[in-house]
Amino acid sequence: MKLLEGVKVIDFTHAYAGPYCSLELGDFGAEVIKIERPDTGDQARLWGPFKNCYSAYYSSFNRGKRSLTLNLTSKEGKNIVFDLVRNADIVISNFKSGTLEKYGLGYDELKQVNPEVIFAAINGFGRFGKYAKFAAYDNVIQAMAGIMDMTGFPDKTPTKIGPAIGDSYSGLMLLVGVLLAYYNKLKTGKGQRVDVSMLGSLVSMAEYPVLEYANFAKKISRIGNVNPYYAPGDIYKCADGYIAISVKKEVMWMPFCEALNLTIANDNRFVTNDRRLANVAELKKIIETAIEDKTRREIVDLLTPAGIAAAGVINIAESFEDSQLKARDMVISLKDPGLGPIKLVGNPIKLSKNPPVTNIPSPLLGEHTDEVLRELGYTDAELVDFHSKNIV
Amino acid sequence: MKLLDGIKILDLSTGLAPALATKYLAAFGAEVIKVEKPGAGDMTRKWEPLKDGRSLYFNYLNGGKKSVALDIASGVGNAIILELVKKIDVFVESFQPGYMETIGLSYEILQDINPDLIYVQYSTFGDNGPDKNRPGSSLVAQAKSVAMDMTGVIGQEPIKLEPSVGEHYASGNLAAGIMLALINRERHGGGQKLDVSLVDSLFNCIEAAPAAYSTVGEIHTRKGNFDPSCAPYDTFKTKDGFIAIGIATDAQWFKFCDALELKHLKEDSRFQTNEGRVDDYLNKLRPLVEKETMIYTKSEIEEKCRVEGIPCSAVFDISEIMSHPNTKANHFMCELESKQFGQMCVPNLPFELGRSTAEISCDGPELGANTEEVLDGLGYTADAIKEFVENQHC
Repeated sequence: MKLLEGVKVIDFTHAYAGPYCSLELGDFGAEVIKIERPDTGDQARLWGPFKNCYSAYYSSFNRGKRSLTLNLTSKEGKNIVFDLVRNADIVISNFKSGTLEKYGLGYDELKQVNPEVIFAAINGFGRFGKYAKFAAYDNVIQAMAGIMDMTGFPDKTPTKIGPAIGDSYSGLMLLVGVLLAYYNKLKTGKGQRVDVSMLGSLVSMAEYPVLEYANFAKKISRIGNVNPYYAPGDIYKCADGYIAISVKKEVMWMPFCEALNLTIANDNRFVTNDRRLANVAELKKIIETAIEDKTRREIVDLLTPAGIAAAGVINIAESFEDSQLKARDMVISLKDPGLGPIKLVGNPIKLSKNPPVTNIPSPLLGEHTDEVLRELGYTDAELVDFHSKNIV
Repeated sequence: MKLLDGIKILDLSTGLAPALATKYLAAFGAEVIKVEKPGAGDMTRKWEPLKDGRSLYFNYLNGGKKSVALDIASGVGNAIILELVKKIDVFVESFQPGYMETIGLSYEILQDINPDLIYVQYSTFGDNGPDKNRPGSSLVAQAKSVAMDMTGVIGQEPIKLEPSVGEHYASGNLAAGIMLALINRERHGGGQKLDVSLVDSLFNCIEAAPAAYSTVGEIHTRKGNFDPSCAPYDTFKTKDGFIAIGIATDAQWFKFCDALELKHLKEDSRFQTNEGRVDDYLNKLRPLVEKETMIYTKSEIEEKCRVEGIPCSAVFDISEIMSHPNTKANHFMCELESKQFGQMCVPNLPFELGRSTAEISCDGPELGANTEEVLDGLGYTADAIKEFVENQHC
């Protein structure tokens, strides 16, 4: 029996943050019914890249879900939501604060229908204050949270972290909150609301910068790729790209020099960690000269037996060939109904008795509308009526 | 009654990710007993920032937890762990994969003693695969997980994600995995093993990169601060810093032009559609927009854009976000009274439950503060405990 088998999730999420959370619940067996706008659906269906007119973006985060189209502004649409929520355990959304309330589908209304329901929501800047009504994009959240200021080189511009972490990290935090609330529901029978904001999630990542500033008025800002505590601890250019090397302990300095045939082990400028940190730019030049003809693979093979942490910086194409990521099932293959064969990231939560189910592709828009409505007891005549009135 | 009242976690881990996961659970009432090496303790006891020789960082991570000093590799320590395992719900460790087997504390052995046990293993690369026992670091995990290749400017070197982004994803996966296992035990019975790695956790955040490459061969690599699919979605210089602006639709573009009174750009035929704005964006539209943003301060632009509903924010440093009115209004920071440090400011929990209250503390335990209490609970006499301490088993 699957871990969350029988758990019903009514999923109003769209774009990336919310779908990240409901995807995880689906992977562990929850039944996720995704509500989409008739005609266009989730806005991520309009985000590239496209193949056969289908969005590879959308299909990344909606595996394992069923799609029901529904016009939330219609009376019938609202009644269908109430019917769904009546038997649901969890409702998830990531609208701008106040959107579900505007439709008359806020927690207060849904609680009337099902007092035990868990109402989970992600918003942009937090629920309170004048920012609550502002639209949030990942770059704006990374900028405001201080993350952009901390990433990059000191003499260059602040840098956005490439992947949209404002979305996926808040989705992950919502997952933790929802699972806590569901555990509580199992124990006490009671539902509750769970709230996460994109901004609050990213701000919480800044633990040591907060501690440094609050106590010592020290501002942690971007320092590039070097490690402030030990050297070598940086990204180095080599024959076929870049390699990350971390010489974390003093005892590793000698083996590091020997592995790369460096004659600087006893050089006064580098003989202790403090000296190496003081002369970190010179050290980098020497290392890069020593490895300029070597590939990432060759360097890793030299450093690993010496106990030194090293890995080539790999891109997405190379990751598909990486034997470790393969062994961990972190790249999964499936057949998408629109796109055909597709590869996606696997699930990082490896439970021995309940491995995640990752083989169900994302739904076509409204693929399960009739099926879900029939399960709710609607007749064929009613279905025809809903379709003709563009309610579904 | 707190949400996780009655749940006991024995936490042998060190470092950030697993400690943050058990901190989340401790905030909701779980009893967390840290097991630390006698003499040295968890390595985070030495991590900066330090105040009067004590680590604020350690106390932030371990507030409200208990500490037992125990040499788990010794016969005595080993026996005590095996006894404790009978009484706990969750066991957490972050040793080199395979190490626990060598000291007789493998998942299989512990599960035999307590079939309901949830055994949590955290590592850099995971518990299987060719890299399982390779030396790792935070930087190495970023390199390996593609996230670093995707961060930085086109044609320049990749850039490290800050601060400790990967470890935070791992802590979320650990906390979620533990809750999933507890839910399964509650619904279907029995414990199991959870295996979370830093590399997997980071790789899981690379958005649509695998889908894009596998369907249309597009390689999502670093592209700076802008989005190639919509414009201007970017970070611009201003008189006094930087501003991030997110414009994804034509309507937003025209409103932006109105907000900054850019009649010439609004009417420029090249920029009427998103397609036109993204075309050779770095050479065409970007310099024109930056020329205009340079006239104002970052907060002036923010004000003007907000009125028009354009998503935007000044690029804040840590002091600016901490003192921001929105941070206060939404309790992103938590002011705590610490016994050791007095008034302390820490980031709040990133999720809030309406009914189940959480409580965070910044008073971590002294090394071995609860050794006696815990051993006494197992029936060891005061003399026996004294002897363990003398022999450095505790």
